[in-house]
Amino acid sequence: MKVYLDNNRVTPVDPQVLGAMEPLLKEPYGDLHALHWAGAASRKAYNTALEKCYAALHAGEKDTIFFTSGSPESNTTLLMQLYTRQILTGRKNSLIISEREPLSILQAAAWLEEQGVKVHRLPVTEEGIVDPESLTDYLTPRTGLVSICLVDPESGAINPLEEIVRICQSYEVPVHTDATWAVGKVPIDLETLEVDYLSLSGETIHAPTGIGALYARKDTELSPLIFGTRSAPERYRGGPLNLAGIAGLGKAMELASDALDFEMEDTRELRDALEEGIAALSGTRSLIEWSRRVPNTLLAIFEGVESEALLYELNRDGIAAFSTTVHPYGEWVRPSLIERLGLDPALKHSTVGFALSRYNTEEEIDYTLKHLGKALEYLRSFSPVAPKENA
Amino acid sequence: MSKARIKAQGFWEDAPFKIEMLAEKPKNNGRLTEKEAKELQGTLHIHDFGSPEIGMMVRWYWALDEAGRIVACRYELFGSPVLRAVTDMAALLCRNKSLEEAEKINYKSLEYFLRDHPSNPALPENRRYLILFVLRSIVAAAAAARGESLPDSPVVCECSGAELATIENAIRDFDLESVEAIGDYTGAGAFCGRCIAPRADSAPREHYLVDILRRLRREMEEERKASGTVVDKPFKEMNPEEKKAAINAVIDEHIRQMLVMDGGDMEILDVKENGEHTDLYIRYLGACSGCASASTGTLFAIEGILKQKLDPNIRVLPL
Repeated sequence: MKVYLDNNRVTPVDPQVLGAMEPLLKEPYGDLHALHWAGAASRKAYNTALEKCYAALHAGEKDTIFFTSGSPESNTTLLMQLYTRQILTGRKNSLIISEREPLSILQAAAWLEEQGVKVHRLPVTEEGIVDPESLTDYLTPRTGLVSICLVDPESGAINPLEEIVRICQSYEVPVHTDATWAVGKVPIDLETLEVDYLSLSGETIHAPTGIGALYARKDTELSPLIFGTRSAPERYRGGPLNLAGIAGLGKAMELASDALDFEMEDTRELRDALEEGIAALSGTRSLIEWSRRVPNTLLAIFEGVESEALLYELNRDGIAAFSTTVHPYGEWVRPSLIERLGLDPALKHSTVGFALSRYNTEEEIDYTLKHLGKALEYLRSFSPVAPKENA
Repeated sequence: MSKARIKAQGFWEDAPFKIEMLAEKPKNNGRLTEKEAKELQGTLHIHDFGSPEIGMMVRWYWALDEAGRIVACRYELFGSPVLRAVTDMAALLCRNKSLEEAEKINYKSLEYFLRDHPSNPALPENRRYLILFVLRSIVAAAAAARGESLPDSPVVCECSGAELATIENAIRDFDLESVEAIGDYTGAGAFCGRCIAPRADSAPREHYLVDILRRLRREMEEERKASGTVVDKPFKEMNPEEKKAAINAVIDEHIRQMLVMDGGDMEILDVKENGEHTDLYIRYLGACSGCASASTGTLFAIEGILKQKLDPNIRVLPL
């Protein structure tokens, strides 16, 4: 049996999304600017997808959404715009991010820092989220942007973004959020969540990899990172556009917002079943309080077991889980969550996470729990730091 | 960047069969009790090395007989499956060795035993530090068994637990020339990267890898010049005597060990200039003479190494 529980990185493509993409992949499709019938079909597909994205996010008529190759490109576009248009011109001088942002933001921020930009990194609290009050220590009228991800990709912790936005608004500083791990998991209504910019990506919402979007509220500044513009759809990102991807993303956004209520409840139930099963095993604990987490993610500590060793055992049984502490693919740029949560640093290499999607079944969860128990027992049988019960 | 570097690197799926086998079914893992040690007429010696903070910890259980020979060897491990495979092989190699012999197990021999095929490296470059970690754990355990302890050295990289002395030794032993290579062999700098060079977003540190590397390279260069034995000439411009010496040096360093491990050996008969080629006449000794591979695989390996290390125009002719 193959069980895929790594849905915070890449999700399987939904058949309906594939259906929306198929005409653009199997048959000739025109450029957005082609005068002929093929161009007309492409324009229609593009417009449908765009409408769906606006609707899914509750974006205003005057706001901008444009398609990119994914949230890293969206993030980079925004940060480079900040640097070239606002910092180099001397209008602004600093950037505030959280220390556990996605890699594209962290690395772009490090690059900006090398160029002389002041970058403040907000620490996460013992609850695994950013404390909005800590913002006030760094916010000044010269702050160019506050960028804090809506959901932590590793732990699934939901940052209190509404409060962050409220504080930033009082300082008149724009707020950006990377919602890649939040779309389809928590309701995002841009009428109530008044962020100025929002990035999203296709691969976490059952659309293919290589497609994403950047949302910008009206009257915010924006300039392209990738040139090659011919018309308004390509105003902020040179074309030709990934039309099949855009059609897929549009469908995926529609499904994500439509399915939010019932499908996420189902996913939450499965996740909770998995969480309960893991809690019943000895020497385990899940990180981040239940109420502060997206419904599909679970990050747990397995005492006395190294992450990669556990992933290896699970993989042998066909179960795909994740950990960000495995060399050489670990994400070491981010500070260790374990230390931030105030836990023993010895547990740093013992975390394994599970991210579910609407395709997981009860049977898969039972199978996972059965093999997880077996793997733990085996690995602890020769672990020098196994918890006492096994000694 | 080259195609080889850009290619998606395989993870578990590309591990050599031997590593996979040892990771899946390790043979020497587990505890050794006092009772078991006594049955083997030995005393139990337990030693911990590494820590969970760096993701690598091994606890050696050695039964030592009166002469200080390791009669039984087991281990407990907190670490990745590849580390498990390496440790398991090391445990196998330690058995029936004296402490001094166990200490002398070097990188090459342990790595060689993990290979599926003599010319395919056992581990990807960026995980070589696992082998050095296991070797250091053996040295530390042997020292502790004698009642000694290893000299203290400051930790340079907290993520991998690499100490200054370890990094310095690796640079010397493996002739490392870049920070990435230090990361490959010791793990230092391969994680959060704060120990590589001063950075705006982290507090100043006492040691940085770039400084250590620069100092060591300078020292090594000075030593090389002082010893005066090194001929700084391209292979093409050497006279036959110098060529012979250079070939001998490469064979001693890279080839002989490989042959000896299988009970064979070789000797150089003559080195002759033949137009643009350099012909090397050799004779196989021991198990190599008469081995079917002596005129195919082994020969290609010898020729390949010489071509890579010295000159692409070398030809090897076995007699």
